[in-house]
Amino acid sequence: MTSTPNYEQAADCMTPCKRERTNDNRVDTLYDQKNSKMNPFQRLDPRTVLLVFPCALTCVFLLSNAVLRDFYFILYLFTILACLGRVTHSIVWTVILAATHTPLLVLNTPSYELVSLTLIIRKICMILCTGQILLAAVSVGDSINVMKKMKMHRALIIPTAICFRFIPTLIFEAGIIRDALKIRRLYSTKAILMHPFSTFEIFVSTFLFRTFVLGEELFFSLSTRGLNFKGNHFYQEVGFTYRDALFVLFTALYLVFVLCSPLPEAKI
Amino acid sequence: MTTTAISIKDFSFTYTGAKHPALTNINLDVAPGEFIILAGESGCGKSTLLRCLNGIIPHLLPGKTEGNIKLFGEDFSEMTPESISKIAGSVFQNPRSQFFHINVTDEIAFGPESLELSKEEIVQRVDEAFDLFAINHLRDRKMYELSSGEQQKVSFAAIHATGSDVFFLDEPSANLDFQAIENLKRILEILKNKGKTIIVAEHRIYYLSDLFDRMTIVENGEIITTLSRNAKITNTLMQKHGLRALDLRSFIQNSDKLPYESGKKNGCTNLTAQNLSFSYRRKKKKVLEDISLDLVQGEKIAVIGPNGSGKTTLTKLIAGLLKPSNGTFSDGSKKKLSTRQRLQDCGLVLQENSHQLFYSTVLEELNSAVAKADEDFSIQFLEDLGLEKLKDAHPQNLSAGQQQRLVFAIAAINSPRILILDEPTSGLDAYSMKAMGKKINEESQKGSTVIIVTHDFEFVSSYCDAAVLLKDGHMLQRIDRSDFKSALPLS
Repeated sequence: MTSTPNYEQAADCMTPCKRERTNDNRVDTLYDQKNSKMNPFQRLDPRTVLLVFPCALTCVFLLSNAVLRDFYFILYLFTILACLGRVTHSIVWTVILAATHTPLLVLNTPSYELVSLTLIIRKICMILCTGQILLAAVSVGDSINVMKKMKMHRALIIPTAICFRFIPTLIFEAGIIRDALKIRRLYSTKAILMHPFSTFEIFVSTFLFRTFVLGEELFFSLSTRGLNFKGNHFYQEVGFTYRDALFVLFTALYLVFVLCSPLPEAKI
Repeated sequence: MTTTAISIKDFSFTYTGAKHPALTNINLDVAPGEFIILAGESGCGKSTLLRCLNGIIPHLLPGKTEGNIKLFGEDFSEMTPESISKIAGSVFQNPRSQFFHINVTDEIAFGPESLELSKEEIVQRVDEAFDLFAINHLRDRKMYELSSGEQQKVSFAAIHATGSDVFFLDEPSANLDFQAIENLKRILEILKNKGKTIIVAEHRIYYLSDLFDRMTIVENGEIITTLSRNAKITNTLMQKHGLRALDLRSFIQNSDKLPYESGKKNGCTNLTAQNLSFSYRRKKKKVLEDISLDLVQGEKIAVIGPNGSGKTTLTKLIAGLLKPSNGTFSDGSKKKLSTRQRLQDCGLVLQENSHQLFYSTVLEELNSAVAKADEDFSIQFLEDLGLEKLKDAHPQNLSAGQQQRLVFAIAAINSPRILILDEPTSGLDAYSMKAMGKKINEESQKGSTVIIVTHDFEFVSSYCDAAVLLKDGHMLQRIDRSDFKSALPLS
């Protein structure tokens, strides 16, 4: 009988240089695996994360309008994002903040509108960074565990959990539909500018159909796995530890420093 | 104590609003630990039967049922999907839409947690599932980062962790590459050795040839015959029932004896790709590196390789959906082709048919694709496809097979120079596969180069002139038809 080669044997035809690349890929994969586990907030109770960040944001929102105080808080959020491996997000916002605040430094008497605009941008930055932190630090499983611990009703737990689960899938589906539209030459900058409503309509109609189909598939799958959220024990139990206390204490002290310390007034 | 795991007696089912029953007079007894294949043409009722067994029908999909089904002696009509899930689990075709959690560990723990078990029991079951399926390296990984094969493994581990004794599998190999199918085979072997009862509805059945005990063939909602593994089941017998080859190696070995048409016009090149490289923004890793290809007029060329090897990226580059990081495209006269020109020259059919249908009627859908709108021409085209009676139907309401024909027609209607098909035979029975092969032959005869991204070697050896093998973004080799027997990577 004639023997048939496998992918590994076929790979033997590769040059030494190409082999090195394969090894590099393995290293990349290992790095990715390690990276995906790199969430220091997994050691905290999700309730701590879900409480501390929105509270801190509210305090800074209500009690600070000063540029320097806002920047100190933004610096704190950027540090947390960096710990979660979201450096790109921080870099993008640093560029935006630098671009919008530089005129304040250059002009001696910046207009009221300009000052207001920078204030709005700082606040938007705080909100989006906080949202990004919550999404990155708390998983679907964590949120279900927490909601169950807090004895919340299933009618609230199930839709919340499904929303968390659905968002990434819908983004993926939207990408496929966009590619299909491009192939049919129905999606281009020109098409969007010339026929914005019809372009939107054809995208949305297909997208909605896909959403229904996916929803049905997911529902069937969950139903055959005993979707009930009744259990009260979990593989990864959540609970408050000394780490939560330390984290809350550190954030509170930092907030007091940001909001109450006699920081020098920045020129801007 | 009951001696049957599943007992189906005189069972019939009609979907609400349907004129004809989807299943008629089904009788089947499955012993504990038995491995059954449900085979048959697309739309014969295999998936409906599985849905009846896992409780989706009638609890979630209503309809009229007659007869009865018993699971370990318990009457199905008195069970809910939730109570069935404690005894039987299901693995569906699309791994992407069947997992609930974003994290692998949470996904496997979800079943035991829902069963209200103690903490110790949950930990024991989850750890055991990780060990049994050798997926400890996937702990805490995100589900979206995994390949289809890995996602499939996690699905099995998740069901095993619920303690199910029965597994219902609906075309589990449909989205898997050759290596992943080999892994799937190993998983099924483990489950069989553990005494689990397994029922698989499947088109590609070659990988189950050493595992199954009985093969039940369904036709028009009825069981027409049940074959035992001990009986001699030949590829010819399978073909007689409209089924795929059971012995793939022997099928490929004999592929040179198959009737074969080639539209290849040597010397006439449609497109040349030189030194293509591509990497996604923000990622250092190259998805494709140094790929060079000559696409000859009328040639039918398969792009094969494991999942993640860069097959889809290569087709997107050729179709003009992506710009290469390095390298160039030129036509037969050596004139460089821009992304926009490639987009105009290529027809691309994605694997997901329903994502490519945007209008409210079949006729509108086809008219939108014709360069110069001509209703008579479109209607003639629909007649050729057997879709003329459905010209006013909504494209999203067509069956999967009809949608596939329509999407193929949209891509081919302007006779593109390059026609690219992504997994055109995924989920197709032997008849539909032959019909697809016939259409591809027609396009090839007209002078289009047809590129087929596929894991289906039965189709490759029946219809393709050559195959390009990719791995880790590199082109390992080009295999000509005469070398298929010895060079197609069957493991």
